[in-house]
Amino acid sequence: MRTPKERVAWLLAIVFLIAACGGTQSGTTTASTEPSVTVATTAPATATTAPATATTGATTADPMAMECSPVDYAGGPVTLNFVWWVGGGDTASDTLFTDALACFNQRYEGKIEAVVDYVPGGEDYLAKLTTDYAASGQLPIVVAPKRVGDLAQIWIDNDELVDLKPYFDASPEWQDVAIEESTTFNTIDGKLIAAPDTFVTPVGLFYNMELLGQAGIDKVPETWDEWWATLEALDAAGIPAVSLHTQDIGWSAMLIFEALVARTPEGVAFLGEKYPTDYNHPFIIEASRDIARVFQFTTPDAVGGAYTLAANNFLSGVTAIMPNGPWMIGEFRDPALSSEGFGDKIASGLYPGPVAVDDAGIQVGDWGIGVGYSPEETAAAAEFVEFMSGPEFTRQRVIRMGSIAPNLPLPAEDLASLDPLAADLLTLIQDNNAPILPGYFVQWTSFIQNETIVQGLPQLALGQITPEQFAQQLTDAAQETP
Amino acid sequence: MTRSRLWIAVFLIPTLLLFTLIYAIPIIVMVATSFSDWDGFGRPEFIGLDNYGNLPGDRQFLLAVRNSLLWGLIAAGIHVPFGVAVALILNRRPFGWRFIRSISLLPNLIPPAALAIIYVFVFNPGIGLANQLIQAFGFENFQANWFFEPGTAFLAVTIVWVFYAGVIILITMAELAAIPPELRESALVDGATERQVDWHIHVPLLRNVVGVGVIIAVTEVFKTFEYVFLTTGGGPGAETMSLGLLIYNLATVRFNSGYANAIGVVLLIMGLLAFVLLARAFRVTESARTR
Repeated sequence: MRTPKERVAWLLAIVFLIAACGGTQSGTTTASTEPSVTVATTAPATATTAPATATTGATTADPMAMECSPVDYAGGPVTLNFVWWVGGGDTASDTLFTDALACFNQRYEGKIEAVVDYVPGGEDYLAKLTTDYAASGQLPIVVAPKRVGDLAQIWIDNDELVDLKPYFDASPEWQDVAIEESTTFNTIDGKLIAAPDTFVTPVGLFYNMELLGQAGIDKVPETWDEWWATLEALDAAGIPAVSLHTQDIGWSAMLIFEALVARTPEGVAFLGEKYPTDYNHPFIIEASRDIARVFQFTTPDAVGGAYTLAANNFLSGVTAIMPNGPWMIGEFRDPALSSEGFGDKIASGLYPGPVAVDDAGIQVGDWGIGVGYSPEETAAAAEFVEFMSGPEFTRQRVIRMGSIAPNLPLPAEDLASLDPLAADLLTLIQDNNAPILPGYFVQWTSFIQNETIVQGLPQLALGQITPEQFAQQLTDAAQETP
Repeated sequence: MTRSRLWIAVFLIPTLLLFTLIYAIPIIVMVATSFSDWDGFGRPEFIGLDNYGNLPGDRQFLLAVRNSLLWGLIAAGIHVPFGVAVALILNRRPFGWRFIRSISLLPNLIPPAALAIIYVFVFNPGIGLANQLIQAFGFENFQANWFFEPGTAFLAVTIVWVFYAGVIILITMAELAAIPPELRESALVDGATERQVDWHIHVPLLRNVVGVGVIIAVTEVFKTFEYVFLTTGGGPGAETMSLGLLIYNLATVRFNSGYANAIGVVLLIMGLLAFVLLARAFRVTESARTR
């Protein structure tokens, strides 16, 4: 019997091999088809506890302490002013970003200073970048193309992003940790328009086992039959089963919707399509019918509610099931956000199938640099982008948030820092050979996410439109050029 | 040019300059780009009247126009009369009138966004005051998701603003204070009741300020944004869509600024028409001249 720690080490080693054998990817940012990632379970037993490479920096006594020793940098002093957000509900990401920012400024003290103008959430980030770009015609020096939806394509079309290739090519450490498919995807006409991804983060379900126990359920459901039986049992016990909401791109509901779509091979293939234009398929209609049914097992405020409301319902013990990623685990352990010992009542689970959803998917990268700045400023920004996409940040992402970094072997003591709930999720993926589906929030247009789903999902949940009409709404929106 | 005309011109220059920079240039850009296919960033591509041609078939646009007109009617028919009625009552100086005047102005001091969020909780189907109040009156099984059910969404969004008539109350009270008290006193000596004084003396003399109030209220609701954006998001479907929110979605989510600006032009024309028609109906400028 392997311990969770060993299983995670196995999993990382396996993902490694898959990445090494990775397929090819379209060189443009549109119309590519991304297959779901499947984690094999029969990989050779090598490098289960691979030592940290030199590029991961010195392993400190506290694995979560970042390596922030001063680095040699000939340029500067330069101040990088750009926009970012905290407070969107993902406290683990917020903390990781602010820690990494402080670490970067410590590393480059007196040479480069990154100064962030914070906005309160991801939607505000998009709104500010959109407004500022429309008004000034220039991007901030550091931008996050992944976080601005379809606007990123306009930046690319208008040649607003600096080619990162010279910096990337000059840094073997950066190249080593980058996921090859992401590098290929972000390379357009020979230019690297954004930093390649270095990790994937599987998104699953969290179950409050205490509430499940009150409904006479002692294990997390693994099949759809068990799923519906669990919802029925919770309902019979007077417990709203699932935390759902319809605002904020309908995140928690649409994650389940994805799993419902993935019940057929055609559905899985559809989820791999980038910007599909026709949603009038039986698997979408069936998934629409069933997600409307799931809404019968939630709180009355789910329809029209925002993510924070759904999260609070779970954290306060009102609902029993929360679809979300491992970044939420910190909130289970934080007495300021949930009750004492709340995290001990929680179990990780996959979506019935079983499947997980990829938080990112192969898409335009997280960090880019706006054109129009001096060579010295651009070089300083490249240092920042490399740091935020490099081995140290990736290591932190893995050990703090349960992400999978295919190209970054980590020592056992680092992996031991991983929260058991995150480790369990990774183990479930490995044990079940579960596909990690590309997220709808990557594959579908911003228009569909921010408008069609937000408007149509409440109608579907309340029975105001039929599943066929919902599918048609998605189709209509997809066919309208964003 | 006489010396006084020169001074008038000098004092008007800052206003004209600011108007040109802040309003006139954006309006010209809006009108010009409304005839183009434009993502808001690159070079607009002239497409003639295509954007305007698409409007009659755009369900969201039609719903937004319908809602704007209905809200305009509600503003003129309920919001303003309510404010005037409160002002007339307060004008009689009943007990606590200063306190009531102050609290009636409070919503005007709260940002619309905050007010909308307050109502998100008031109409929350789980813990909201509205459902609990109705349940307390004996309808134990009553359960409504006010902002997301077609039968209640429009009503709920309207309730967020309709009874907050602080500005109307304020300008009406100022106008009432300017009415010579002798008119009221002589009417009372002649045996008129307070109600008759209000109805036959005060209300006719308030025509000017009521007209101004209606113009302010109607043009304000035509461009409603925050109340809808933060409560229903225009839903369910597009049942509570406003022109302001539709323009925002088109420009920032769909990056279709050319079409958004065509709707902006329609909104501008609706506002101008409302202004002209209401000013004429209430003979606002005429009243100002004759008094």
